[in-house]
Amino acid sequence: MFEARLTQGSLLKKVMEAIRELLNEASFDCSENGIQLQAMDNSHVSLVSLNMGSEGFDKFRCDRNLTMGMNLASLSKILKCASNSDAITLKAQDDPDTVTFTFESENNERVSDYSMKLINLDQEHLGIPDTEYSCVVKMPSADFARICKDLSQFGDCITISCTKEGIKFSVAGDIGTGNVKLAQTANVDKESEAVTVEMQEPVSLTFACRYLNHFTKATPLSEQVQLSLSADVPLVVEYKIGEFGHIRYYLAPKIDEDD
Amino acid sequence: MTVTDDKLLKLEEFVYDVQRTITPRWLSHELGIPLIETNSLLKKFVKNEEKKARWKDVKVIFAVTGESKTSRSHFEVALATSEDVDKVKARFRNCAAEIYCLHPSHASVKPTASILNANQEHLSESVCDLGKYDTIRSKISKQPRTNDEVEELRKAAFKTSESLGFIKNQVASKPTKANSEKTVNKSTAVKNEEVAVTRSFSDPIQKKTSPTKKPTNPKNALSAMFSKQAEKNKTAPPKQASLPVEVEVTAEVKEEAISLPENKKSEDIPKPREAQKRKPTKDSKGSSKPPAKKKKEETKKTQRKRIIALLSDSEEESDDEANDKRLRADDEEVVTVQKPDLESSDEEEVVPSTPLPAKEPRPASGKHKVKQWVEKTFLDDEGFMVTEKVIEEIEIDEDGTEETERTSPIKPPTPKKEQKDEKEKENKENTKKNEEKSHGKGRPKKPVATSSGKQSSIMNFFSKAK
Repeated sequence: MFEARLTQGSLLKKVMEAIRELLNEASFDCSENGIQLQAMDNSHVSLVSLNMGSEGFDKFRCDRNLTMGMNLASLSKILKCASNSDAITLKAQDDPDTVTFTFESENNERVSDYSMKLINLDQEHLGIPDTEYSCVVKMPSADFARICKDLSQFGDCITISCTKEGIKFSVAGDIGTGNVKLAQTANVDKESEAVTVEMQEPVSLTFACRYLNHFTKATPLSEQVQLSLSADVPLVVEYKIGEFGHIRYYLAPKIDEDD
Repeated sequence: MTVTDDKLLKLEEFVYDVQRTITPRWLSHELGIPLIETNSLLKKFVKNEEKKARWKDVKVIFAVTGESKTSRSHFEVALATSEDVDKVKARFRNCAAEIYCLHPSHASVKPTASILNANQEHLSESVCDLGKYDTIRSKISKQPRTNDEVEELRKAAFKTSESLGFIKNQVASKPTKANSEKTVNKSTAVKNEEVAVTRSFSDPIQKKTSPTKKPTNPKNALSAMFSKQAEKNKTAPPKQASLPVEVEVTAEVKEEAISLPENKKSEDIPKPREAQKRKPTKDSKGSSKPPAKKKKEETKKTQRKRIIALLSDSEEESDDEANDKRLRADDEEVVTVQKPDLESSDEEEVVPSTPLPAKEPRPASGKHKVKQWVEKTFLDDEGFMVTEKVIEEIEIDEDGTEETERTSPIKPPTPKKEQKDEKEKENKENTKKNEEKSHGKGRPKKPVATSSGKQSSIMNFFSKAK
């Protein structure tokens, strides 16, 4: 038996929105630790890793580890039926064919439940090694989303260069070039508004705008985003999910054709 | 302002400012939009403008198409003004009325751009069709043009085209066309008259133009293409003359080329006046023949090379012995001309687009030329032994001895296996290089930022979990 109740149902809705465009189907792995998801996009360029710890749920019960393959378009349809203030409960049997979603309004006046058929997915899990990144940048997620959106108008690829002064996003396209430099902020009132750069060595990598824009769909989840860069290693874009989880996007860099 | 508004403004400009007759086809060309869109645009324009005061000067001509009520089998087209369109429609069954043209009353009937750009045939037609404009005009203004007016307009048309400097050559080359027309349609006296009329127009301009001048109208690309083809035919006859189908095609091209003005240069095509001079002499020879035979002769004369190329020794004999002899004499001439050309074309090493069949025997009397795939081994620049298959043309005598004539540079299509091997080799080399880079010297400290590199897969970085 699996049962997980999340009072802040909007979080699940936001998570759904953050992965919906990148993935069509995904397997949710449920264990006593919580719910995990790992999936690559169709073109195998990016990878999504979602972790929602059990401590974040009001009620969490998972008797046996189980994997629930879901069509994300269908899941999205169901979650759209829930209000932001609703509490969402997921229920499934040990060997489930379906999963049930129960939406309860704040004062329990309205309770709705939806069941969704599960699908068998033969998805490969990738082992993600623990890497010490050369540069770790923390910046406001809204700024990152804005930069990606703005620069993607100029070209398909964004070059992210990180030095001790700050981080620079640059793009070159048919109409011209664009550069956005963010310097490390000295004094800010809110920690989430700060731009901080932890750097071992300068890095400059190029990434496809399209994927970065998909990643920024997770902006509502967190006020701050963390970018981790190392030479010849996928970029990690991480958004925190409250205090109990995170969603990490891995994006393979573009490699110089001469190599 | 939307795109349609922009187009409507342009149309307004054409009608009221330029005051030109506007047909959907012309407008489609001018605005670069599909014809269907043009029709709807015109309708919209007419609808918008109908109530305005300035519209009274513009007439809309409709083309009404449909089945005539009087005769069932006929599908007819009629032109009518907006006032008469209902009357005309009544004459039809299942009819449709489309805007044929917008005609500002002050529009002058001048050769349009399409006329100027057209070839001579179109030009002559257009000029002769001034009468059509007349019919339209007479319907609109009820004042038919006099013959003098039409003549003036024709002259004006030629003057304008002459001033543009393109038409010279086309008109100058007209006699060639006229000649070809003559040869083909000699039996019909009416058409001869037409030719005479058109020549009467072209004659004064012909005096001004030099006959050797090549047409320089870049828009006449199709005719230029034919002229090139004709020149090819003239200089180098088709290599595979023994193949009847291909020869037929080239001969047809040649025939078409003769009808085009660009071939005026060719010496093979007699000038009209020369042709006229020649004809009586030939006619005088065979004056006793019936007219049908004469006609046959004419066609044979114009196409004799094709006939020579087409027909083999078993060609049916003509009725007249004298003609037969003359034809055979021509035959011999052509053969003597063609043979060295074939050899010269061989020397040029023309690469055929498709690989030739392994053996291609030729119907020669003593020797057979055979093309064969032959393996040749040689040392290349890097010192490797290379074995290649090449096409060799071998001349085989009847007694069996072989004599190699030439080696073509065509490489045989590499078998799929070989291609696969090559690809595998390349892949191996690439992977080796990558390995060397990753393991050998370590990573570069500052990777070079590239604006558009190759997108790598995430699978390259993360291994599969067990």
